[in-house]
Amino acid sequence: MSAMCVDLPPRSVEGLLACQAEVARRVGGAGRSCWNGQVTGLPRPGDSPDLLGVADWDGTLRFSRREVLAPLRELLSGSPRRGQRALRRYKEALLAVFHENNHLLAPAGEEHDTALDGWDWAAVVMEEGVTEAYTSLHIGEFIRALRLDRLAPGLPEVEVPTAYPEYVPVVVALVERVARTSRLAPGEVLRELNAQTAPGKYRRLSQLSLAWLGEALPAEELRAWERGLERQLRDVLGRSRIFPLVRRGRIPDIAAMLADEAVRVLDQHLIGLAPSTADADVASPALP
Amino acid sequence: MSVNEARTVFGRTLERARSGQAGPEEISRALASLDAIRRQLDGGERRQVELYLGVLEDEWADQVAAAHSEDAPPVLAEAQRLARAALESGGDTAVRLDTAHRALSSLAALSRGLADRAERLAVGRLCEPLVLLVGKLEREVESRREGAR
Repeated sequence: MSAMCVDLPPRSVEGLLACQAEVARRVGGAGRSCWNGQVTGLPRPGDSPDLLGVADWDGTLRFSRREVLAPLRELLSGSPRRGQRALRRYKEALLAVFHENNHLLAPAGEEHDTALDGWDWAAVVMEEGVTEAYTSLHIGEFIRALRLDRLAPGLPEVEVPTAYPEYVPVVVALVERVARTSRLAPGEVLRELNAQTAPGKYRRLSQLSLAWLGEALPAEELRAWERGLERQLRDVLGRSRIFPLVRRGRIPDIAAMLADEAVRVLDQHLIGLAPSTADADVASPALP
Repeated sequence: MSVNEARTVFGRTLERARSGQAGPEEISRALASLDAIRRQLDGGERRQVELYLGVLEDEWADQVAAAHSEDAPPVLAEAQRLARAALESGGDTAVRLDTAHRALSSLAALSRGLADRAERLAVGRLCEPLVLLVGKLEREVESRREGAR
């Protein structure tokens, strides 16, 4: 399924799908979207009936027929239903569309499938955490950019639960900490991460964490510190194996503990770095 | 700071943790101390401290989990366990692929048995990284076949 984006607001699901990737790229401020122009329905044989969406390695987007494509067809039918319940259903469908599109964002010249090699639990926690944090913060912007609020007034504002409450807090905590060291706004750090491929997210987070060093370290040494930090953060985020035993209502507490642990590791890394810069006989930057 | 100090911190914390006297916060503080010692060592001594860190990190995770396990919801807990186990399974690609397929089938069955829509969608979301894992492993199998031709 691939068509030109001609109408905003779109007049059909096909029209919406033609526009979603470019609109998501603009809202995400990314170099490119790796969408290959194809959209298929879920579930396929063997899939969970409640799988909402997948951004596949080849750039194909797959969406649940029941939970995503059907509500969108209703929204774009010319006579969408009214009421909070209908709005929530439409917004959940659009959250899935925006979420999957955010997975496909990458810097110019990079490919979505670079994440194939390191697709482990740590990669999943970072990828889903960043994607969902960005999606839930910017879904209103995505809806307005598609002009869907004209078809269903109140759609950007209606509240729906966010996905992945296990992973989002650790990402938010790291983003806030890195924002302080990099002197960027937290929203800007999150946008930078969301616009990277999965391995790029760890790399960019480490770069931003250590950007305050400027040229205080030789480039090679700085790269080594960045790689070290990347490894340590992967270790911490990979430790989220505790979640299987956590009741959903307790997830915020446990997610906060994991977030504290991640920030502690980051701080330890920065503290460890300070003597090294002093030894190098250069102006030692104050630890942010 | 020496490996002996690390051994003392490790031994004391492990003993307290296993006798129920040290909670996650105390273990976390011990981990920070060990990490600081580790940074000052190299070679075999550093690896020794890394072993201590590994054991205590497991203890930390177990303590956190145990603190809440009695009120864990069995279905969602099982869904997360399946997803993580499949993602972290090692060994031969074909075996990993089989494990991932089985995890997806189990998650689909779990999802079908849930009455609460939000819980069903939460399980559905856990399938997302697994579907990608299956895609990755299938690619590997395919490229091996092509290489063998």
